[in-house]
Amino acid sequence: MGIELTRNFSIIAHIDHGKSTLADRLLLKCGAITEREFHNQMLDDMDLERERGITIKASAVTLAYKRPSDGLTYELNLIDTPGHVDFNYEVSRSLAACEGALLLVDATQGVEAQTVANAVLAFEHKLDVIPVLNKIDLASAQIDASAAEVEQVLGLQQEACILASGKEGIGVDEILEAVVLRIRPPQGNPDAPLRALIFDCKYDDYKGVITYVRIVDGRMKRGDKIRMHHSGKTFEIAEIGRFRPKPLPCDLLSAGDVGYMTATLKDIHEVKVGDTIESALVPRDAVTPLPGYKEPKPMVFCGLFPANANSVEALKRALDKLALNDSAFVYQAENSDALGFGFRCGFLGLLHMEIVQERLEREFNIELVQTAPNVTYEVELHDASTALITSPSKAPDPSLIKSYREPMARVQFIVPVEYIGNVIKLCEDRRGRFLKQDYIGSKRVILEYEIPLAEIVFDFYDKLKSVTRGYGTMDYHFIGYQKADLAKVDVLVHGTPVDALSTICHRAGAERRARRVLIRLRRQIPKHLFVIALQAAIGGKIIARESISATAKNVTSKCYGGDITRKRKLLEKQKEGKKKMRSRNIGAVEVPQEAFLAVLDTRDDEDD
Amino acid sequence: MSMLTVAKAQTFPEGLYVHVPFCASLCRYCDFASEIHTAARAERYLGALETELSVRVADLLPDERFAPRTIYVGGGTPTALSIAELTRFFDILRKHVDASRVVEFTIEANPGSTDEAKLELLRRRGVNRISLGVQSFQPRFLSLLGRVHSAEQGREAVPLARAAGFDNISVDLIHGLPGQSPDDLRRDLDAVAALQTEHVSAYGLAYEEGTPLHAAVQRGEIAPLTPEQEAAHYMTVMETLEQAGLLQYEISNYARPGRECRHNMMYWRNEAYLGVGASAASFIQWQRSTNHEDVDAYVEAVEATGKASATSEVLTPEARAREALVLELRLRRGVELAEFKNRWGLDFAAACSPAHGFLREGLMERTEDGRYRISRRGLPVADGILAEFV
Repeated sequence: MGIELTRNFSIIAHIDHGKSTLADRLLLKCGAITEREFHNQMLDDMDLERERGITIKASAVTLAYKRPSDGLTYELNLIDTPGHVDFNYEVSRSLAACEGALLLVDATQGVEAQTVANAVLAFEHKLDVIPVLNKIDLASAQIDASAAEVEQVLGLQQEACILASGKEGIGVDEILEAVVLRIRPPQGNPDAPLRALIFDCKYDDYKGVITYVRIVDGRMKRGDKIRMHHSGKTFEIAEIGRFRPKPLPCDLLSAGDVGYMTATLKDIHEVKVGDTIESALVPRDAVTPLPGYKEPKPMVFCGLFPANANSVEALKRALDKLALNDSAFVYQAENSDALGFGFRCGFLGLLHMEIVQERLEREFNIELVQTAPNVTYEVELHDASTALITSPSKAPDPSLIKSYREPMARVQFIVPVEYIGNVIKLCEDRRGRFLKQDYIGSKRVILEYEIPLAEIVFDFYDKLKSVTRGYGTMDYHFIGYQKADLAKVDVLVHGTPVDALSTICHRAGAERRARRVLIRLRRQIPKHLFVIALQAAIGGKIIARESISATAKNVTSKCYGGDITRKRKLLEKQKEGKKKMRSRNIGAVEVPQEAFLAVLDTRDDEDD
Repeated sequence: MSMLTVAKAQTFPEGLYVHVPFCASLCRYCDFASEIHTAARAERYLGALETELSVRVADLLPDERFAPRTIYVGGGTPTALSIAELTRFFDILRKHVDASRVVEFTIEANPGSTDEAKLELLRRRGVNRISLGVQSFQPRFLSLLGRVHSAEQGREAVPLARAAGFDNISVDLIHGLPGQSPDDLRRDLDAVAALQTEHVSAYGLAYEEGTPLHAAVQRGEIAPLTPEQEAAHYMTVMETLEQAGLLQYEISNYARPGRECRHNMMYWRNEAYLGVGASAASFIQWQRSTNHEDVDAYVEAVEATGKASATSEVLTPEARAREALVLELRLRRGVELAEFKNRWGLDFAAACSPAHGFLREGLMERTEDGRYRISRRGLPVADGILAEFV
């Protein structure tokens, strides 16, 4: 099949704009799935994704489209992109594997923040973008207004919009036609040395690591010796194939093709999304790698500890298994005085973190204690060295630190005009710096702010939804580190610092945050035989304090011969009762597990 | 069985406890084995008591007479027995027990039931220590507790006992009573101090399940003091009695130097003792056994088998050491590490890591001679501390 009959494209959309259903329509039309299968969302193969209505991992499928007008069969490679901002880099790699994209806009919602972000990415990759207005069958669809937004915000002609409904199957033929006509065929030289872009990978119990590739130049066959450009590691190809949508082995993938490859790979971490696969027969120096490669860098960290100390091994096995399928997820063993043995885990973002946590609890049935999420900080030390901090409890002594630098994000919001004030207030509360504001028509506004990432990973999205009654949308990307007046706040339970409760936060908000933690602790720790002091401190300076009063009376007055057995049993019962309560000793204080959970709960309670 | 063999297993019982379960009336807070005295029931009970005593003593020493160092007659109200019954009671004791080694012979008595005749009888039969259940000197608290005697009788009981020749007198006091103000408490303590007794037992009121007082609290008729108020009362008791020259030697017991109750000290030192009568406990050869509490069950068991043990348990070396620790920590003298280890084979320091936390918090302390004890501040929450050591 000639390269001129191939088209590689993605569908990009805001969450819930109906991407999966439309994709399934295309699969159905091209005979890749049956009517019955259509009713399951084929591309998303995890329950969690289906529930959340988002795609977590990219997928690719090769469609055979028999075009009615010329009778030719086109090979359309549909590359699905992850639907969330946390996977921005993976989205960009998926787009790099394409020449074109369908930009899906829910006609009942209009252009949203992620639509803009994804469109910008598509333009950066110089893709041929086809705007599609989806859900036009719904009564609330505002076709003209949405088309106008597409033109005004995205600079695409209103007339270019295809009207569609994934649910009803409207516009599917037009879309397939447009893919052939408006997206250019791939370029690339099949006779040049191999260069293939890795845009995704996953682990399969039978085939091992499956690497998703777009061949840019050259060819790929079974048995070829290949090399990962950035790691320099070499492997032998075990199998190549296409997804139709089940993996179907083939003999050859050549320039312009999209497919998969398995090799003598054991560990998914040997495959880096964005890396270039090249022929091992060509010297590494002689190959120009494909542009845009980045090491996946976790931006958000948290500690994950088993609620039951006996589950440490089970948790480790579960993390191993999750990591097999998620090259962006990292973890290492961590020992907390407060929470025992557990793992420090790094994620691309907050959603990524939530997904991992939920899968651990749901698929592996492990009850978890999760510490408050934190971002990665850079500290400049007085000896002119710098250090990267992924765990607040591991921050150097304040006397050694010259300054803190924190990751910053550029955040775009699209909100109805009536909520602008709320969103501005939210951003200001979170130390945001206003960048710009643009109206989309007369009813909605694009706002841009620069906000510390730390302020976003902490319940920001929920807050945005609540202050805009669900209408506000946002997108953000990391733009670099910036100096900030930060401090590590330690929480001391009766004089003993509790590592799991240390946070790094802005000095201005430190006291309020510390007080909230102490009040929650006070409510959760039962009375002891002595007054328990709860303190929050920056360095040696106490910034907040609370106390828990002592048990006043607990004594058996009479204890003679006949009472001794009963008394012993009573005391044993007291002791047994304490043992049953799952708790950790912080110095002389027994802190119930629930206390940590309550303290780490990120929900706001206004009554504090 | 020779004494030596027994001594190797556990020190030979040196104390005898005898329970007399009869009272003139039942107090509203009391959950001890007791019932209203009637001549018929007393008659049958004394018969059973004699049987049990003879059998138990014979078990203990087939070839010799049992010669304890201390005898403690408790109840109930032993002095609720009539002169004739008391006489029979002492005859029974004399028949089965050799009193020649006795250094302390205590009887519990109620102010309402200690007339000159009975006191004279007690003295004559060798009783040298009397423990008077005064409880309070204020009519409203006496009636709340359901005591039959008056405040006057309470005050007069001590001089009466002195006149009968008792030079070792203890009074019982209850504090932490519902509605008891700090002033009320102080008045009771002043009254106790004025009596110049050798010994005071001061108990915080406990609302024991099954008692009328407990039921009244459940029904909301009586409002107990708050734990904070109860603890404050307890502190006042400790401080006031000490100022009166009565030194605290156990959680609820105070004495002039040398007048600590030897018999009770034996319990807190986890030593062996023989107990007879309903609900009486024995601790012999590391076996703790307790008789039936119910008088009928007790009498029937004795009449059928000569014994009346309802429950018994042999303590493992670990359990007896831990029990000893919990008991000895009730004492103000505290625990000496080397001595304790030597006696019980349990390394206090190793077994009792919680002590470090308590020491740091001031709930335990080291005395000048290096012994560990619960501090005065720790005493109101002693159970919370002891629970870490069982």
